[in-house]
Amino acid sequence: MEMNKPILQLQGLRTEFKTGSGWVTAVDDLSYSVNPGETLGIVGESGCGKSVSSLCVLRLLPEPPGRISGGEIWYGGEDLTKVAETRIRDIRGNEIAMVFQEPMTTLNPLMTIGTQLCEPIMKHQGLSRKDAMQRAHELLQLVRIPDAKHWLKGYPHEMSGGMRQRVVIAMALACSPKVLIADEPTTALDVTIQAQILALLKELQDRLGMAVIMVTHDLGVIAEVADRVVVMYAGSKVEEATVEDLFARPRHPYTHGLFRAIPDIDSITSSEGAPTRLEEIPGMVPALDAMPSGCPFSTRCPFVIERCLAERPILEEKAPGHFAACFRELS
Amino acid sequence: MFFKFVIRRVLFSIPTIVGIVTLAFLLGKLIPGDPAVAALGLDLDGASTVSQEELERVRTELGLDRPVIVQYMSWFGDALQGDLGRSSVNRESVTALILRAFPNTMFLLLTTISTAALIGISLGVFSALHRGKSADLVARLVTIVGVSTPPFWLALVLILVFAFNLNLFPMNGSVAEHGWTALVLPTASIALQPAALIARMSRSSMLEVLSQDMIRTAAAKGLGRWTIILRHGLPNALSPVITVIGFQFANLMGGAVAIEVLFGMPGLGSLLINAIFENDLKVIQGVVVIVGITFALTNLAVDLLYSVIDPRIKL
Repeated sequence: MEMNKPILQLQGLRTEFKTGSGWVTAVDDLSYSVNPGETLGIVGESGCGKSVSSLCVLRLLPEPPGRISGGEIWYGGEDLTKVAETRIRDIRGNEIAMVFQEPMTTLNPLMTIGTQLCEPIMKHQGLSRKDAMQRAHELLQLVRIPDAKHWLKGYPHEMSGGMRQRVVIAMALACSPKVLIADEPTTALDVTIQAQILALLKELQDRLGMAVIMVTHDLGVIAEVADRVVVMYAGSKVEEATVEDLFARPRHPYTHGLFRAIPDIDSITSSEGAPTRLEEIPGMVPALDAMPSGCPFSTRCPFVIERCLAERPILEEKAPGHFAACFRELS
Repeated sequence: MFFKFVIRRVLFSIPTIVGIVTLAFLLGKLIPGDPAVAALGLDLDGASTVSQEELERVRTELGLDRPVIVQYMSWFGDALQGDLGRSSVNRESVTALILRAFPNTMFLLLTTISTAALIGISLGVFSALHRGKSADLVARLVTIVGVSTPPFWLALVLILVFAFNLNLFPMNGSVAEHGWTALVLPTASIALQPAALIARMSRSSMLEVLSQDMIRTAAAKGLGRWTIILRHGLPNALSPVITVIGFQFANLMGGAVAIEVLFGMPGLGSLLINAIFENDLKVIQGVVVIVGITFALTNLAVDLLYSVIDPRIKL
């Protein structure tokens, strides 16, 4: 497969949730693509639609209350929003796999690690249980679980959070997927384990050549692993750039605010020694059913002008390969 | 590991059983009337018709003249050896009477609880999978009707319709007389309530499990809908359901009394009711002991079942 031909492409994805007051839009006109071997970071705060949109790729969004109400998700020559249920099952865990946030709850507590690892292998590769167990053993070694043989018969509750997340990753990698979607894979882990898991993911990606979509709220994780970044705010993409460009010069006020909110070790205390306040983005994300008519960020934006309130900015290319949805030019 | 767990749990149920045997003894002491009079087969008014010497003779024979603690020890020792005394009505060994009645009752109860569990779990899972749709609504309505229908009343209606009018099943009698058809109506009468309760618990437990992350993980592996429901969903939903099943099984022993009498089936219930009418204290005590022990063993079985299903429950 060519490196610069996207393996997965979202076009104008729109997702809605049914609430007491009708349907609200959780993801609005989201487009992005990821190339083979590339890591795309999707960053934003909770509720911005980053997890919801990644669940849509494998049609794992609980319906009801959710629904995909528009857009296309292209994988190969197929639109995943339209393929038959049996086809999407063949893709899940086989060609596109997912790693979820909570290693404590993503595994079945009543099943041995080995059995859980075998399930996708037996289903997608048609191996016998014995051969699948052999493969499961290799997978546990791949994610560096010590004493893998013993753990095949172990249960999730006997493992630490970090080990469980390794198992979840091993399970996702079981059928050598072409795309791995990692939804906050390190959020529930402590920092040292976080670094280990990220390094492991990166190494496995290099080895297996898969594309990774890293969904996170943590810019540190993005800096660590991503090649390209999509910044989401209130269900929409507000900025997209290579990780270098984004960190060097954020072009959307929201991204700008996110960077300013990162605590800096040198300025934790002011020159007089008094603690300084952390910077924050004022206000709150507007509720999904109470979006402002103009730019969704206009209610919190320090650079807001008249036009922002009336008109919704569309994504424009501010510099080669660097897109932002803002009327202003941030310097 | 598992064996050790079983031994521990079995040891834990010993104090319960000791308590049951003790309570049965106290029951004999607390019951109104003179056991010696009862042992002669007389009711309270008949007490004046026997001579004082005759009563004394019976008291000595029954050991009632000894101190209470000695009577207790001897009752306990006999009970341990399986001797629960003799019926004052026909002088038969209580143990023999119980051994004859017990399998009938157990057969009825096991049929009932299996039927109730099968129907209840299926209905509950069905309901959970159709949450909020009309199928769920109908299923929940059925469970509400089921929970609210008194078994005794249901039994009368079933007899009237299926035995009296349609003549499909025998009106009464034992399995020995009529074969399995004798079980249908009694089972249906007492299975409805537990089935409805099991269904309600299955539904809510299943709904909770289906919303958990692990179900999404299972789906993300590409597993089929039924594999997800039956291999990942149901086993995780089962623990609270087993609690209800165990509790309902114990409850059914009470329900069986009325139903056995109503359907004229030989069993512990019929034995107990007759013993009460005839003031046959030893038989009443014997039934109390055996029902109590069955209760304790049911709890034990439920505990063991938990640990079979869930590897987190050990020690």
